[in-house]
Amino acid sequence: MLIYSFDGTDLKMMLRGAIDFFKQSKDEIDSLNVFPVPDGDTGTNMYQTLLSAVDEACKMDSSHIGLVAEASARGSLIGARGNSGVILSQFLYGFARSLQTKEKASASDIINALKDGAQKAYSAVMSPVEGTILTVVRKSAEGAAAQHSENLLRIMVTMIHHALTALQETPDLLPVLKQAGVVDAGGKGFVVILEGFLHALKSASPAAKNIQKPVFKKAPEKPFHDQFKKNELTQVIDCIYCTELLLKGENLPLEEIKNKLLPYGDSLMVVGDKELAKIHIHSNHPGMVLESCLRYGTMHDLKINNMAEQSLKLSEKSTPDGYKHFGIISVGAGAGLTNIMKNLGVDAVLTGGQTFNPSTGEILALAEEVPAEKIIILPNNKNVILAAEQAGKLSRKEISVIPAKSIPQGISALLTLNPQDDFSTMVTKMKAGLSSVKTGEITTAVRDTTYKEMEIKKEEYIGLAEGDLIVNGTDITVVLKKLLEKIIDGKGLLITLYRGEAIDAGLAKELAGKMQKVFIEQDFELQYGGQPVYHFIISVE
Amino acid sequence: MNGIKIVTDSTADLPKELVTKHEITVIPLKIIFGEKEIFRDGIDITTEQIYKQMEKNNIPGTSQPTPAEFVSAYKKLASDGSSIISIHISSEMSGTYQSARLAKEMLPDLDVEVIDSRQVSMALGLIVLKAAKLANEGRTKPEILKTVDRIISNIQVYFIVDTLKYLQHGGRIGKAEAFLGTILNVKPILHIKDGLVQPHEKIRSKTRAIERLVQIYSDYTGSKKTMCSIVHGMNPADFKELVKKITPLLMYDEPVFSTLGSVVGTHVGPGVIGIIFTVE
Repeated sequence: MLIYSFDGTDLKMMLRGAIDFFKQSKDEIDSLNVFPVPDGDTGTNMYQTLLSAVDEACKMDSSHIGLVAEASARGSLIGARGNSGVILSQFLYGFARSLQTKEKASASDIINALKDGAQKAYSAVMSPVEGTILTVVRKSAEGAAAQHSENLLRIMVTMIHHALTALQETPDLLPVLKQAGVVDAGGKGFVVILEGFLHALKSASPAAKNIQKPVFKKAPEKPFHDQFKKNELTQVIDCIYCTELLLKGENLPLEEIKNKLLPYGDSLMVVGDKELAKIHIHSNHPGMVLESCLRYGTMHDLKINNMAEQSLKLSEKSTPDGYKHFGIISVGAGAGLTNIMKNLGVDAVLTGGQTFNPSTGEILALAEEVPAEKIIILPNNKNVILAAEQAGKLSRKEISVIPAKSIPQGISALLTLNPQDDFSTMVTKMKAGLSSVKTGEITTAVRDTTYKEMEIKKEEYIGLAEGDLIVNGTDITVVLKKLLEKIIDGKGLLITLYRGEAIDAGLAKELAGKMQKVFIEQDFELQYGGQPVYHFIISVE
Repeated sequence: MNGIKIVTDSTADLPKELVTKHEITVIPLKIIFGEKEIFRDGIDITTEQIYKQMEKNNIPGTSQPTPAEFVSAYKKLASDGSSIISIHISSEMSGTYQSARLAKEMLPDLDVEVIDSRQVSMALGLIVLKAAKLANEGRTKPEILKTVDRIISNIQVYFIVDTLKYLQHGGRIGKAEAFLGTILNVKPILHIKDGLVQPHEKIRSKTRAIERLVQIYSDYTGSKKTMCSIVHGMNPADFKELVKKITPLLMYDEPVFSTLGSVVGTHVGPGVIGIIFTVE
């Protein structure tokens, strides 16, 4: 079979092929994590990212490859979860930008796009590490370029060959992979995507190409609701019902509709074409808006929200006089930790953490909701930092991500908060606050493994210092004690034990008491964290 | 020879023996319970009595001295031809300075200098004490005013409160709403800046907050000679702890130990400890 060019329809088909393939490999990729810590969610994260890319691409009713690629990139940016997800989204972004003006892409266009995608992926990471998805992406692109052919199918085959070789070599580049006896999970994910592409190409039939969905033609840059959300929050709300609908008809007179609706409210938007129009208005008379629209066509996807209610909900945490020159979003899980964060001035806590990384889109949506123009984000997990930074780039608000890698770091940053500082001083102080605390964590091993000469059995307790596994055992008291010995590095320190949902109050109290006796020069404090996965999160400050 | 006499108000929290020794005139502010019960700060009521009332959620109001009270004090002091330097609580916190200014305007024939210290409690106290010492040494008015100005622009006040409730109740603190963290036992360290109480930083646990006060002191003063005062509001345990920790670092042989008076105590609440210092 010979294929000399791709268009948007081909790309959509390939993306769908990739998502089908990925679905089957997701769990396998999840299991490839280095640590027996239950954070194996690389597969899930990449799948969610890819799913969002495919959805957006398929909504693009065009066979223009530039437009379809751009839609997929946009989708992946919004859906990006975890580090590998963000890297994948950056790859798609670079790939799409390269094809921007192309109706169809030739072999050399694709080769260039792959190269640009790989470059963009590297630039997304502050200090790129070889032996990860980055290496696999780069070598795939290089492999494609090395195959001097005009036949895209052939290029794909060569590329996958290079990708697989690169993947097999990841343990040689990264010792942690070798020790755990696995290849890089993100890299594996990328290979699966390429395999999905190839599979879709090979099994391409005229029927498989017919995948268009009836959707709104001119995809707006951002959801309508988002565009107005800012105003809804900062203004005194005069018109309280946010009314949105799709209007279908023949020869819809957009200008006339606009003029007709103008008296009924503000923030009016009537966009679309002669067959389909999106209407958005804030009105105190949504009934009249609907009646007016009925004259022109049929109504679909009707939504009416009371914004006064929304606004009230969002501003609950802001100051009594409504003054809020900054907002803080913090990522975490557990009722106790959520309370503690809010008690320290966080406006919104986004559920997430080790086993569930929130997506760029979720962070972005929350950032839009918090009633402030400047937002500080505390990711509190190293796998959420990139997604948070991505959200920062996409948002119209001024966003600063404080790269907190753990809950204690996040709390430590929050303690530096002084509302009288200006925003940049606040950010500087919070970043400086990160280093004033050490983090320990205790969880349960999810599988047997060997790590740094430690024989770890499934279900054993394992202790991590600053994210690195350093102790294991079957007795939680012993594990806790050994972990503390490693992270305590002075006298008169305050050690806080945040107990997880699986540890009952009595046991936690008993353990804290024991530790206080062992580490007599330190002050122990027990707090209810309620977090999943970790029996204890420990801060030493 | 015409002397110089130093006047201040009761918010300076100066220990009585120093007031007597350095011949300082202290005009009392007032504590008001309900509408009728009026007490003179440091004369009719003690800080213990105030705190006992506050524990019962009976929080009094406070009031500045009237211009008439200043007039009568100034007249008495100037009867021997003396000049007066009258130094008072920050005009951002109280109308006392305003009353003193009005009194001065009502007495155009007297030589009265009214100064807004931009401070309160022993920060005001240390300024007044220095002025009184210089006056008693026979320094001239311009010399004294120059020194007073210098100390006003340098003096540092840092303190820890158990709760922000009373500062907020009295409206004596700016935007402190985000100074939270009750769950984690966070203690706010406050300072006085631009004539107002402002949040400085947050420290978890009282012990560590006290250590931080000591560190702030030593970071600021280095090995320079200082004037220093340590104050508390019915909190002898933490006060002792702070004194114990700071004593080895002190470069001044007589730090002034003081307890908060009723008016200041009303506004910060019980449990306060603080350190006030300036480099000489």
